[in-house]
Amino acid sequence: MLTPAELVWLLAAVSKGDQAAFERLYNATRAKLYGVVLRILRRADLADEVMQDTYLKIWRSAGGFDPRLASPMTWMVAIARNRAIDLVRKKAELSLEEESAALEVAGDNPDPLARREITDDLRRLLACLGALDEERRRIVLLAYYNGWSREQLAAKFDKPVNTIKTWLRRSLIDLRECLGS
Amino acid sequence: MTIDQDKDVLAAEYVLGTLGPDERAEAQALIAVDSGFADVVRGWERRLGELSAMVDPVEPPADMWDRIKAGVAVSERSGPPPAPATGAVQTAQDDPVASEKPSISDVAANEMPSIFEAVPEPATTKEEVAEAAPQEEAPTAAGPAPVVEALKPAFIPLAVEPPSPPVVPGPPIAAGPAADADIIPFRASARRWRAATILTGALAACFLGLVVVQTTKPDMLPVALQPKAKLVEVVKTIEVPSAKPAEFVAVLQKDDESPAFLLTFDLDKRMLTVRRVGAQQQAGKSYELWLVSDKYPAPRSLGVIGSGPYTVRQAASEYDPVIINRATYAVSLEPEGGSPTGAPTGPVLYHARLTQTTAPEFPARAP
Repeated sequence: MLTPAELVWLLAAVSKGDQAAFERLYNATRAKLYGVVLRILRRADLADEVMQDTYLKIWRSAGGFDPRLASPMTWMVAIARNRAIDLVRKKAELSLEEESAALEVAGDNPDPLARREITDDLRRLLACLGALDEERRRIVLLAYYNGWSREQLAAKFDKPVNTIKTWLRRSLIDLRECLGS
Repeated sequence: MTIDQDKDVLAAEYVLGTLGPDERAEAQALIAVDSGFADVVRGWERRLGELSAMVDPVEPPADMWDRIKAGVAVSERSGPPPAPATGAVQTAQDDPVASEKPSISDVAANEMPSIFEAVPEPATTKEEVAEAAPQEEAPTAAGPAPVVEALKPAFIPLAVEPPSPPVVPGPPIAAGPAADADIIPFRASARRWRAATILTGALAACFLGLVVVQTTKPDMLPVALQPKAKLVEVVKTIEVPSAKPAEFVAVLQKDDESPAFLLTFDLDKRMLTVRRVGAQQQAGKSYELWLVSDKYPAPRSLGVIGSGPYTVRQAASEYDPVIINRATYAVSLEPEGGSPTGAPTGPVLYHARLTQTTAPEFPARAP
């Protein structure tokens, strides 16, 4: 794994049309991004499609990346997740019918990290998530990691969609307050 | 304060991914038009994005890089090269929110090469690949239908060149030397045949060209190739298969703070949905939606917007996707039931253009 600083340099080179840098960037980030989108889409063919889309987008808009506003990984992950969620919402029937399988696969908490990978920002976020009630913490994590809709969360927690909506709202407001701006 | 908080939660839920399709489209439209909202979204992408550190890496298929490279090559040929400054509208549907701030690239350019030499390759293991396989092995047949990309360049000229004079007329021409008296009607007849065949050929060529171009890349259709009005009538009866649904939105609003209507086009189904967001129903008045295109001398009515939260129409079916794409959409305030004249009579309150919310057509996979 490259350091964030190295990724910033690579993105800068990519924004100049440097294809070799683009390949290095791909090699450094492909497994993480694929892990993120596969977890949401759970179908290799769809994940492949999103990956191609994502890297094309990264190639085209690397110049729009601003290291003062985002880390390279959160920036790229956001591109990939947005594409994956757009797709999964369009295929709502798919994700719903496979829901039971997803419940088995999807733990709320993916793997523990090597110490060095826990950044200060992540540590703060985890602390703030930890301050939420358990159910409210879980809906945020399930939504983030698995791309679940409110309806899927409602089914999982056996609550009306409106309750989920309220929980989400409350959780996000609390998170915002806890993290500051 | 509450409005800020609503926006904040909308942005957060957009990033989290829990919005339904309509709200998601609304958020994407807001990102496109409201830079303040776009900043809030970016903030949430940064905050929540940290969670991705805990996702297990999974090796993508080995040929993925070749496919990406091919996609980049295609986009280089058909689109602009990556530009340091990306325009707000162009990138609005893409996330994360594009920054218009000065980019790092200028600063970085000079010292890059030395750094690249030292970049290590990421480690990959077979175990990861094995773990990566999704629970249900997805049949590749379920993937996107291959696009007839290879045909594209070949068919475009077809529509440009007038079809060569037909050989068909048969008997009259094949008859060879004949009495003058006979030749004249034959010639006239041949001319009629020829005219008819040219017309048919031209129609067929247009169709073929249109269908192929519409299927692959409507944007590539040059203005000169856009179907004449009378052709559109025929074209609409053809089911145009599309590899991916294309969806476009426009936010009809007076200012950044108060979107009034949200317009969504599903080009696949030629379906138009108007969602009432902030506009108030006025007694004895109706809102009417107009398509304004330089292809038409006057605005075309897309119908009166109903008083409910959603108005769904097939109204778009008679318009070409290219026209739909490039048109401006306007809402005027008309007497109840719509404009009595067929042209806008009341004040035009809102107007906007479309923004694509789905990913643009991605080229077919490399063979």
